[in-house]
Amino acid sequence: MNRAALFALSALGASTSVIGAASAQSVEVSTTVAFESRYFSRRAICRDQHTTGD
Amino acid sequence: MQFAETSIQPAINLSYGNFYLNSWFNLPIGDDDLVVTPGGEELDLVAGYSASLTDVISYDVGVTYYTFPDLASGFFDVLREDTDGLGANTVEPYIGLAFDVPLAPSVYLYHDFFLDTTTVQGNASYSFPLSEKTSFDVGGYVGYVFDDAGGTDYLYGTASADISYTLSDNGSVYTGVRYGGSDIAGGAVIDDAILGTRQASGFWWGVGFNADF
Repeated sequence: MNRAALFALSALGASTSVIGAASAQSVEVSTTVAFESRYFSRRAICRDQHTTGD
Repeated sequence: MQFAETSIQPAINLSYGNFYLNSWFNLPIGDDDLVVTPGGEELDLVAGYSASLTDVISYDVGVTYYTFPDLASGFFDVLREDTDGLGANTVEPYIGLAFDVPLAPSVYLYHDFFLDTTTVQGNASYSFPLSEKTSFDVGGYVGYVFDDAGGTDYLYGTASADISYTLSDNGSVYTGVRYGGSDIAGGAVIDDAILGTRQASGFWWGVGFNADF
């Protein structure tokens, strides 16, 4: 899946979420868009350790 | 590994009563991602349930499905080391306790069934109001990973300091610095994407936008 498709899916998800929130009052939606100068992820650390060995 | 490149990280969180569905996506945008980031695109899908135990203590249980869209594995290909090696996705249930006291401490226990790792992580944060709309927010977490498959256990953690500005009742922006690392032998933070050299820890920065609907 290329990046354009992923962006489109993200936008579709956000749109769907907003529509869902409007039609069901008890559904709450929040979004965050972050720009980080480094990819630091607990999962990335763990996966890297697992795939590269000790 | 904490990959070196800059990234955009969109997240969408839905809640219905005590139930929630979250998605978090890391999308590398730096030129150097071509060098070091197979798997740099990370999409985490989370389903959970959170509720109060007492006025001070709440609990949180859920499961995360980790996927890596830029790898050869498909969306449903979980990690299987004994087959074609293409599967990369994993499933990790978790349980946590959070305390509604100063510093908002919480502690979580994770177990990844496919990586065969158990992780204990503690989190804390505090917000200093600077003005009606501005705050100075600090936070961090420290975790320890037990490799149940016999590999090396390791410690990791980050700290962050952000200035946040409230735009409206439903929106805010923030920017700040982060510091993170681990005690993994040889270092886990890439300091040069071309050379592939590593260091034990490093600084980086971030900026973001939050919105509630």
